[in-house]
Amino acid sequence: MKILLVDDSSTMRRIQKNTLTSLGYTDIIEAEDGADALEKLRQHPDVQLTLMDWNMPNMTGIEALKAIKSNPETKNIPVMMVTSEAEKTKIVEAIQSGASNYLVKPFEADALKEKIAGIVN
Amino acid sequence: MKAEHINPFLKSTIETFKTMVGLPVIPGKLYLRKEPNGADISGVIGLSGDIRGAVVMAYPLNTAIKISSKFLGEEIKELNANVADCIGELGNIITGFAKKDLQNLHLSISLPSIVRGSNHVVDMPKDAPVMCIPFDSECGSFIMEISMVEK
Repeated sequence: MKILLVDDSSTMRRIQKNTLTSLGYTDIIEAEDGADALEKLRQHPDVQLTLMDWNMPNMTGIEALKAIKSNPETKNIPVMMVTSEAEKTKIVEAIQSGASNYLVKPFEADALKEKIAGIVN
Repeated sequence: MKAEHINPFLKSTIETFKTMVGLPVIPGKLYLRKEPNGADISGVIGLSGDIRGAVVMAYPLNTAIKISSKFLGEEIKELNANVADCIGELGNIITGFAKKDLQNLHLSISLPSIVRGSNHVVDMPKDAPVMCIPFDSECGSFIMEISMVEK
């Protein structure tokens, strides 16, 4: 399964990538903001899951989520928000915008595993 | 500045280091900043909304390197872009997680900025005190500085 990892922090991308690899997900591509994520999805139409940070420069995660869900070519790709935005209003906004799940930072590896399994299964 | 505004940051720091870094951190006694805290690198997050202010996570060099190594799961030997990114991201997670317990302030947080320099001081709003919370850990000590002014 090809996963697109979107976070402006190279540290968070590396930590999530290590976690995903340890869970057996090795086909991973990365984007450093929302605009980059849209471009990567154009280049890689075989992406099956996107993990999306919220607060990023250029284009935020919620803007990218809305763009993905309004595009017929990408609207069926599951998007999980992985963010430090923990307020209920933000979670509701993401889910209403089409997010398949929501993971709040700080998180443990098991939480990421369970959330991904919930989407994939 | 009210205790109810400080406590979420205290709680979030302990939780973030425990969960994301695997590092127990022990808070010390709060004090008002009167002189530089001996920081070599700081992660700065601006706060806006019903208040304005900032949160500064201030680290001595060796502590920053050890914490970044533990966070990334690989040895870092010197101050580099990875350390700066780790320090910024930890500040971002801590502040973002604290925000959920401060919903009455309608807070927005900035993207993290990094300040480097031996024994530097990050300027805060002049009309507000800067509260300092020292933390100790097996990677060394560091300080959270918080300043908030109600609009």
